[in-house]
Amino acid sequence: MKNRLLLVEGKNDQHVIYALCHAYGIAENVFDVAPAGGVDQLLDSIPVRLKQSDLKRLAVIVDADDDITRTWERLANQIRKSAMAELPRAPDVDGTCLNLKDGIRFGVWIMPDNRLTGILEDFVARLVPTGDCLLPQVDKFLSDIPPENRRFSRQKQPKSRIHAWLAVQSDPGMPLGQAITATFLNAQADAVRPFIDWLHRALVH
Amino acid sequence: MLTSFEVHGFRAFSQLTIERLGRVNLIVGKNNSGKSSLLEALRVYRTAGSPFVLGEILRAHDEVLNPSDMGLEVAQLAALFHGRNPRPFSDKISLGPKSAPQQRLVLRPVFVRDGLNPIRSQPAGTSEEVTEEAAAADPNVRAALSIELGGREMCVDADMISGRRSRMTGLGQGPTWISATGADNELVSRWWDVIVLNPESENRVVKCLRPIAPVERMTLVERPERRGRMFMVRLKGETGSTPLRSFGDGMARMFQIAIAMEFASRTGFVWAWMSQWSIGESLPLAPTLLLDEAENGIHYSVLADFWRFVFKVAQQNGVQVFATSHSWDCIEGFQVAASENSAADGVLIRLERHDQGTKAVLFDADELRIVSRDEIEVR
Repeated sequence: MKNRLLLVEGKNDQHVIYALCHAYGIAENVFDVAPAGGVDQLLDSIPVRLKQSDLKRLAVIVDADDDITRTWERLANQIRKSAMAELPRAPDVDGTCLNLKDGIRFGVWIMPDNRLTGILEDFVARLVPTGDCLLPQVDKFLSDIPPENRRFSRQKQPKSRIHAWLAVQSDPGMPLGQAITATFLNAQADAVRPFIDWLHRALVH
Repeated sequence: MLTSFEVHGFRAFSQLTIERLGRVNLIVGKNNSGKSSLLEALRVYRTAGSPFVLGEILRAHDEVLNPSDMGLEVAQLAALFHGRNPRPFSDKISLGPKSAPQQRLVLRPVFVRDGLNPIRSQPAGTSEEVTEEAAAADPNVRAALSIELGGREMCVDADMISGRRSRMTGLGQGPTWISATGADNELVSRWWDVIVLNPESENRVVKCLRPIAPVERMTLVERPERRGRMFMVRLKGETGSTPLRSFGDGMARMFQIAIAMEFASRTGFVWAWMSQWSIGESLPLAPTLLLDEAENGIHYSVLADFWRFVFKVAQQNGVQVFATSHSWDCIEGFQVAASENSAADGVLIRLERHDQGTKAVLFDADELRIVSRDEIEVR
């Protein structure tokens, strides 16, 4: 439906959302998912998106990155620019939802869990089945890389981790979204339920 | 230049406030959101309530009635008022910038007696009270419209508006306006007569057409059968000329708009109506172009060039432009030109109808860049 919209940082995020919605029976036409060209473009589009025609619900998923407070502040500034409301001082641990002026409902989820620093891939890592024997081996593989050979930054480590794990599954190298659909990653993991509940509150009901 | 605009009680608008206007304004919105009504309100304002323009608006909507049939009733003016049933002396139309009451134009239905002197409404219940029934009984009393601006007041009667009396024609009738279906060829010819004496103006007009065809020169000639005049085009590399209308509607429309832009900046024309009551000091002449359904007949691939031309001439000649559109391609072309011409201040305005009135949602050039980048639906 054109009047309910979820903004995400990029295409990876978009595919993960699609896969999780499918797993939880949220139909494709309930809301649109628009991938931005990165977090900066997503943030600066928020005041403009809020002026989109016929908009009833707007939700946003961004990575906490290194400093969740800073990310939250950037979001709060964009909402302030639109003069439609003030975000609460900190994100709700179950995901934030509030009503803006003009009756628009606005929601925010900070990956991975509205509390910790991190990125989408930290959240996805919680979908690795409990007790999986390959994950510890992946961790050892990563920690064995000498510092001078480590090409990925510390911030990107969760990406290396989950993709290294996906590289050694029976269908190696699946992208995140597909891996959820193919049930290599477990959509019923504990970490997912609060996220789906927030999606419902923000965009479905 | 108008920097904001408020409309009360005019046609579709009980109340509309546009907080900020730019030099070039593109108005979008759903069907029936009031886009054309807004252009009409601007026309009325910019001509200080010219009865010629009021009549034209009513005629365009099939709303003007034969005054001799209606006698005293204000019915023939009613369609201008929101709710179509204005109470004499109390209901009113108010148009003008925010926070500048001395520049507001106010129109009110009144009764007049002995020429165009309004009968002041008296307190209810007194022997002096003027009711519609009492006025109907008095053969000297007629329905009329009071027009007030900057502390001055004029009255016009239904005959003047319907055009039965003192039909005012001519070039100086108000802001240059082009309807969705185009401007009258005779009018366009007269605009051309004015601008052709200035080679720079003529060159700019010709240049505007080059994205469509390699036009080198335009001329206006008598038709062979002597019924008015027609435009001829000479293309680069050709010796003969071809009628403009051979090139199709899109070219003809671009041409009309290009001439209108040049003509709009000629402030030498004092509109006949406005000179009648010398309100020039209250309402300074401000070159204005009004363009309904800007993109009609123009292919999407030339829209960016079209808007570049509009922005350039608007900025150069000090013309304020108001255009309406339904088209996404038109918005994209507008955005490209707006971002290239930040000095010219382009604004997109979406009109939305709500129960409480009409709302205007504004987008400046920076926001339009994001609209285009992310393909955000703003219409």
